[in-house]
Amino acid sequence: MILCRRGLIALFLGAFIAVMSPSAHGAADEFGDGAHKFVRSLADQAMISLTNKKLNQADRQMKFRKLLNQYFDVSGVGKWVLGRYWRRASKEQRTEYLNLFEDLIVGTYAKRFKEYTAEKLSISNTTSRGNSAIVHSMMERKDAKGLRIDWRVNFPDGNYKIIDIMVEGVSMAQTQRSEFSSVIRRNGGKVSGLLSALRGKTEKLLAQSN
Amino acid sequence: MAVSVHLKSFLRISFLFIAVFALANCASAPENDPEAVAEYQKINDPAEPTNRWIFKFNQGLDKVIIKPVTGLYRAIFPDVIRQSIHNFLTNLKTPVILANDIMQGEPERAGDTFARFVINSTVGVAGFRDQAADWGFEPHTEDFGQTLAVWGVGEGPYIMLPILGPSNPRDAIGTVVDWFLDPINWWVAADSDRAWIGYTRTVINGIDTRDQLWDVLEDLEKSSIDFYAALRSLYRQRRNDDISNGAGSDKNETPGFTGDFELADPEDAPDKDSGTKK
Repeated sequence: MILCRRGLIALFLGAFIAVMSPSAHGAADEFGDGAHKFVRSLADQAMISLTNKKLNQADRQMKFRKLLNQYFDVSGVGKWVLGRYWRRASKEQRTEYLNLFEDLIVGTYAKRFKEYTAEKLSISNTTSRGNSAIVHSMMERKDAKGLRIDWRVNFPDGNYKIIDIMVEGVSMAQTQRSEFSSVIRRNGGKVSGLLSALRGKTEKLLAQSN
Repeated sequence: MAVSVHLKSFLRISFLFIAVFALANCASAPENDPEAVAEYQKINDPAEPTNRWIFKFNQGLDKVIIKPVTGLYRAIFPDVIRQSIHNFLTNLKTPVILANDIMQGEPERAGDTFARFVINSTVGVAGFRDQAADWGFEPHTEDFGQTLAVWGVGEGPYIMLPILGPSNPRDAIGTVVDWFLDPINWWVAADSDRAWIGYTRTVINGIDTRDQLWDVLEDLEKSSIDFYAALRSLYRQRRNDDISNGAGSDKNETPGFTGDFELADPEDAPDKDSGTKK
């Protein structure tokens, strides 16, 4: 019964979004427009500073980290990803966790820009609700189907911040949250288990060139 | 004849599953902690120990056979050829997609699928070329698992199938129904001399699927600290996205919109000094 209703709501929502989205951006929506420009600016910045093939690994990571902190609410997402375990963590653990979380992102994604060829990000439209917006875009690739990328942008205190990226409907934050909680549960509910796993992983990732 | 052979082996495998799951020492539900219970229900993987064991088996199989064979396939055939083979296999699946489009009451998508089949089977040279996509009929997937979801059937607990990988009862039933919806399977089954066609198609389909997932799995394995858990989350999200035909990302439960910090608000920490206010 509940599942049935949820299915109907999902269908209805889907239909609603499908009908509404073409005009959503057209409506004079200052916040949505700002979010759109914000994502565009990130894509342009990344293109300029990260895709240079001559850049060495340390420099690329440094530039990536700078853009990451400028455009993303890294600590906000990090806390959300840790979820209920954030409360259990000590002050030292929280600090270390947030550092490792940032390192994990840098180690995973910075090197991807090295293999960049001719992808182009084209933004289609933006849907916004309150102080939160989703910027819909396509990563157009040369010999493959385009990738659907959606950016969740918040406007917490006068600054735009990206809080999630969804690739073909898969949320990065959601996936990590689910993964981290699994690691903690398997370590007897201890945050320290996650931290030691993250330490090992980030060390490896930051050192590997690809 | 061949149908009964297939059916028999299928039934045998099904019984094996039931046996394995009945014997499984299921992950015990947590008690006394409402947050832990909520988390347990959300993960929805009561057979996790068994599933992880099957996952390990799958990884071993992948390492020994599936990945090396696919690697060879990738080394021998250039991208263009592999894409053509993928197009051909996809075209053969269109009758099943069409049936599911119709059962989901999606006339527009059914029309797209039908047009794709006609264009690609002819102008697209038996499906090797995806001419229809160039003419604006973009491909999409549908399967009976998605149809069941649209009809309101819940996914049920997560299960890791041997060889086939992540699934759940709904999608596993969908896979079986899709097999019976496929006219090629009936055509193959009608004459035992055609059995090799069925097996060949299954093997090439498997290699193509592994090839399509190559980069995703490489990346995920490299960046994850719990590959099993990451894959479980990824599978669910992809399925939900497929079921909603791509409209899902607007209602995905991520920070920002609804349900943020629904399990715990990091700000309601016992020691307020840490945690910068957003």
